[in-house]
Amino acid sequence: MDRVVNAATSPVDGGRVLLIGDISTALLDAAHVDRYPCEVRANILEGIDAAARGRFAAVGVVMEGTAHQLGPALQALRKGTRARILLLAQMHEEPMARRFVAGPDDEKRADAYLVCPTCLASLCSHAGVSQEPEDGRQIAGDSRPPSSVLPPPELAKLEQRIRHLERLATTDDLTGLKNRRYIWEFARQILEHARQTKGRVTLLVFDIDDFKHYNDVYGHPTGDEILRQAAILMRRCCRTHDVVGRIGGDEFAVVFWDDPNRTAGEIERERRSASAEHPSEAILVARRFQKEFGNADLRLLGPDGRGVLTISGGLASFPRDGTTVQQLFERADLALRDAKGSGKNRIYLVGEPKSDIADIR
Amino acid sequence: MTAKGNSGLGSCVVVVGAPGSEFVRTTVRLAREWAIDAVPCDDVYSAVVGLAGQVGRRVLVLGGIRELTRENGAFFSIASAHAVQCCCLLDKSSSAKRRAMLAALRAGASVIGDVQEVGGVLREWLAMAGQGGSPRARNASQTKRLSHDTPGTVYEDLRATEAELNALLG
Repeated sequence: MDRVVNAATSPVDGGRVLLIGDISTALLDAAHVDRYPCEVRANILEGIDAAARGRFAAVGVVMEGTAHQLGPALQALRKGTRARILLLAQMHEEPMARRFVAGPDDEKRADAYLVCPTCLASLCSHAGVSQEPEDGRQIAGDSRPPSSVLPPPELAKLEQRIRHLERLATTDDLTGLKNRRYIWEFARQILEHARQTKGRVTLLVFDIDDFKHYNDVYGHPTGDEILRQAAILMRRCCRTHDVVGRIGGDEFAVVFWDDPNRTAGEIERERRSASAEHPSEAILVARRFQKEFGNADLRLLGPDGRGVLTISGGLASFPRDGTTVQQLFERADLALRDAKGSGKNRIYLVGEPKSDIADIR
Repeated sequence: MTAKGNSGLGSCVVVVGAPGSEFVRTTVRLAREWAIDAVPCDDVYSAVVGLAGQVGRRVLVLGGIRELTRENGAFFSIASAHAVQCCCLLDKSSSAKRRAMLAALRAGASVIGDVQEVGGVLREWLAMAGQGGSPRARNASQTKRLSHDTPGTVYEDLRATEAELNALLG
């Protein structure tokens, strides 16, 4: 279904992309933007004006720093241009970006989103603009590289291919969860965000007790199935914006962070509440998972398959237990080892040795 | 054309504010009485798009100061670049930043303190057209006039306007 556009709608041009916002954090090669068929407007209003008056194949909007204004700004862009609207989202902005691209064609406010940091070549491909940067070569009368618009079928194929490669690079093949690379990068970005917004981040690292035993006794396919079940259960127990990953062997990690959809009032109330000291949501999720995993009916383990699986874990919070990804992982891992050493089937909070989250009220 | 006269086919008023607010309702009604096209916009973002759709027309933007000064007052630079005249309605409870307010004044925007004044603004704007002066021509003449003033005078004018604003905003 075609979008309804008003009289101010700018025509679509083949080869150029308009970038709105501070591209320095969104694009790894932002410094080389002049080598690509791109124009940049740092201010969002100037960007909307350029989009409505200019001819662009696509408009890329950097989400960072525009949180509260993004909705109305995208709505205005939609009215003002027929160009594809691409959101450049930091990992923690992905849930919000997903909402903007959801819904029927005539309702969604953006066409696609890219998780940052990304690069200009990838952006141009998503925009349907094919180009090759011209390092050091000057085209007579134009310093820009040649550009053209891909026909829709080829564009769709290219997008599909890019999405597939992105999935491969960030997903754990066995469980479908995020992989170690994604979790570390996400944690790095969300900590940066939390530093600026005084947000809370909690990291849970856990593994399955005696996993090697199940692998050895029941075989690797059974071991794989246990990992898959753990992944499904953990995903089910978490809130939609929490990020769950498998970071190796039978080891999993969950990054809990403040719900991006909360209002400023809700954030303030939470900060004042007693639960702010220990992220209560993370503890609740971990407890729920521990319980459900313990009760999981794994027929692969035979008639006694119910209730035999347990996990041990460690929880570390920013900024109390560490301010970098490395520190948080190290502290959570230490707590996990403490939990193992204390008889397994428990989750310890950093800084509270021998204190299982089951005892925390 | 109405009894009040010809607004000119190329004229248009972009009204920025909450739909249904007294300001928007009054401005749209008055514009219609003067046979001027009114383009209501919910916020400054859609106002930018609204402006872009009026190429070649004589445009006046009327909006609440809080809305028009969003994004560091960039709207005024855009309006100024397209020779569009702006008028801001002060909101007594407005927390509009001083820098943004100054951006409005420097871009030649006028400021009113009450919805009742909208009629006067429209009348004056139309009268300017009647004198054969397009906003662009008027801006040019204003610039010329300012350039003949001593820098000290311009600065004093600006300070006086700022003092008035401070008084209005409490």
